[in-house]
Amino acid sequence: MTKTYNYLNNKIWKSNNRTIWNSSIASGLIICLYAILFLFPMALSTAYASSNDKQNKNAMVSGQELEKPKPVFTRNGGEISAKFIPRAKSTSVILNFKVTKGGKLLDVKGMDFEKAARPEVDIKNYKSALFVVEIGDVSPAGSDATVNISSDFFASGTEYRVFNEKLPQPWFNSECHNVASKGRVRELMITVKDGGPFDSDGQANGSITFVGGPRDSFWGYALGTLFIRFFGIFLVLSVLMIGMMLSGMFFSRIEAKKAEKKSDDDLKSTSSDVVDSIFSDPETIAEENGVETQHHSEEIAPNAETEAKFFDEAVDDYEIAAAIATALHLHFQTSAPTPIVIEKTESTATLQRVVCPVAQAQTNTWSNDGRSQIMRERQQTYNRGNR
Amino acid sequence: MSWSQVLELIQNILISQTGFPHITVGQIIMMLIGLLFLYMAIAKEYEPLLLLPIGFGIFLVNFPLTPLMGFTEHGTPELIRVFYKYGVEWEVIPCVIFLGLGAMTDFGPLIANPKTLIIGAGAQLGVFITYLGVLFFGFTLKEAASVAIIGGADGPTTIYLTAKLAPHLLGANALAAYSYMAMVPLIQPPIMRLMTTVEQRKIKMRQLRYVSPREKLIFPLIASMLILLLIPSVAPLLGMFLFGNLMRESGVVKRLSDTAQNSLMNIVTIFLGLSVGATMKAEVFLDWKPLLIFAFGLLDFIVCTFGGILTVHIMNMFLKEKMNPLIGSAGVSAVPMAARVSHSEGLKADPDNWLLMHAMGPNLAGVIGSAAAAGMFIAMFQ
Repeated sequence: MTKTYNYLNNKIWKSNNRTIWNSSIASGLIICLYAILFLFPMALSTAYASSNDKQNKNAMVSGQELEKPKPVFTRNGGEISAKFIPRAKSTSVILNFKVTKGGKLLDVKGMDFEKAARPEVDIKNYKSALFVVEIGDVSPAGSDATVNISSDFFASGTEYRVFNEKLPQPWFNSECHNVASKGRVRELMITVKDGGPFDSDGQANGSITFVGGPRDSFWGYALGTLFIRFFGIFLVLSVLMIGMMLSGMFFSRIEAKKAEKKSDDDLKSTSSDVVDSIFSDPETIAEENGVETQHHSEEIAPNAETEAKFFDEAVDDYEIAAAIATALHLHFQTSAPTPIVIEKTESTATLQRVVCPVAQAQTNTWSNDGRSQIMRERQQTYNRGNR
Repeated sequence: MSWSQVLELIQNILISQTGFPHITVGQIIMMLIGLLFLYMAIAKEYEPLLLLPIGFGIFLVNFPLTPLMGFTEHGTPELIRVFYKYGVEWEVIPCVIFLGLGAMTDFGPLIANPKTLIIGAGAQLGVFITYLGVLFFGFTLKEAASVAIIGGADGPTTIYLTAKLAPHLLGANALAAYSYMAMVPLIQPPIMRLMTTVEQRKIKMRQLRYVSPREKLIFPLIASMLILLLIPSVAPLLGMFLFGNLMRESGVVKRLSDTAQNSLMNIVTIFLGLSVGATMKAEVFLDWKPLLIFAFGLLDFIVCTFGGILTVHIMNMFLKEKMNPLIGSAGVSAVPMAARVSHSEGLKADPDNWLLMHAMGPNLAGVIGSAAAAGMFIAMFQ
């Protein structure tokens, strides 16, 4: 036991002796060191990357570039559909273009945003590509045509912005009508005048080239979804919590019923056994439970060699057993400032609470290390190497 | 053959078939970064299971002309590219790791105290704050989501989400996540002390109730049903996680459970580490974005810790039996490191305050919470 005691004593966590102040400073210093270790080479490399043309060409691929929509167009009668994955989406959407009044839809093409980029326009607001819509047979020349763009990707706040590089202010709102259609589909209806500001060719010649794209507020979406999704997690985990509480209640009842089904006699004898065991001599309990004490081991191992071998093999078990026994003993002591109480409900005949009549024990290294040992053992279950 | 021809041949071999003339400053810098991670893994034992293969992957892939991460003339992927393509790009390995983690996890402390699930949700605060912060620095929504999930402190979740949303940030995100997970014992304690009084740290919590094997068995089924109905997009991750746990708790497929916990998990960890490391070629990695990712990753961890502790404080306003706010920091997943930190901080305040098993509840809730956050992000882009 002395050996075990020394072993446990040596294993006491050193961190208990450290002051909070010291460990704070240490933590701060290590984090600073860590930051320097990382940031210095990275800052160097960043400087290097920005100073080197070759590196600049190959610099980390931009997310905007990767997310650039690449629409694929299909014609179905008078309607042209554009299928593409918009920015900030992982699934494809379809935009349907048609001219409902005043002309004929000739073609729809995609256009890179870079060609229409202006400092005042934020690409993030334009999740879809820009589109070049060509309308012909506008008669009489100079009259209006109505373009209808429908998709379930549009929201009630979606606008359609027009780009005309011939105007001093090339970007402006088309003031389209955004109306709900079947299901979740919304339609944007835009009236375009041949030769008007929306017509990029600028001439009333019976054909219209109409450049623009749907616009949604990036920050509105980002903040809105941020709020909803954060509280969504609370909602999901709250639902799970309620489910687990209910199942916990259910299983507790099942366990109680199972216990009730067991004979009252068995339980009564169990409770009296427990009470007896508390006041019994530890060696007697060990003997009754078939646990070999050191006394027994001496009888089994009469010579020194066998004894040493026995200890070598069993030392771990002894240490753990000693730690657990000590911890349990002290646990009962520390949680029992009151005299012995044995509560037994008539209905379940279950022993509810057993405490010892001893005064609250002072915590000591024995109990601490015993508990540490138990915790370490239990923690092995969770040791996943942070993978 | 004349001497000049021999010299020309040697010159050609040196130029076209050896790495020396092709090595760049960027590659040397990356090799040094790789060595730094190897040092951290070997000498400091910071997350060696992941940082060692990642570090060596970085080191290896930055040698010029090495046929590791490219494609041959015939379009066949080279060695590590194969691991990457089928393991990471196809989103297989993170899910297999989750299977193993599920098989390793005992949900007892969480089932015994389901209230701690809320802490797991609160500890995702940093994920969303970071998401917002990163957006201000010009990241796209997808990039921001993949950076933000670093604070969830769950490696496979980070890799899964990043591979799905912003694969070009995979290396930086995975490195930041695993590095900061290793740094949890350094990052969290100052915040924990700042946010709690000595008296609060001394709060003792009641012994957790006994959880029957039947209750543990039914948990993966209930959790699948409730979570997947609300966030179907997280099914690949949580589905595998809970399946692994069902194998464990059922007790009838011990061989499968053991394989998932050990052999399978170890095999995929090797492939994952090497693949992630190999994504960090100089021409891809040397940019301002990784710098920001590391900065925001740290902020993310700090705010997540703050969020977890704050959640406990808020819960304590309504609870009759107060919880020790130190267990809030375990709400970031980082199992079991974060719970260990809560425990040791509790012991510092009171040597008789044993918080480990109480902290395991929020710790496990953090795993579910971070997976839920990933699911929310995935759903956002659908």
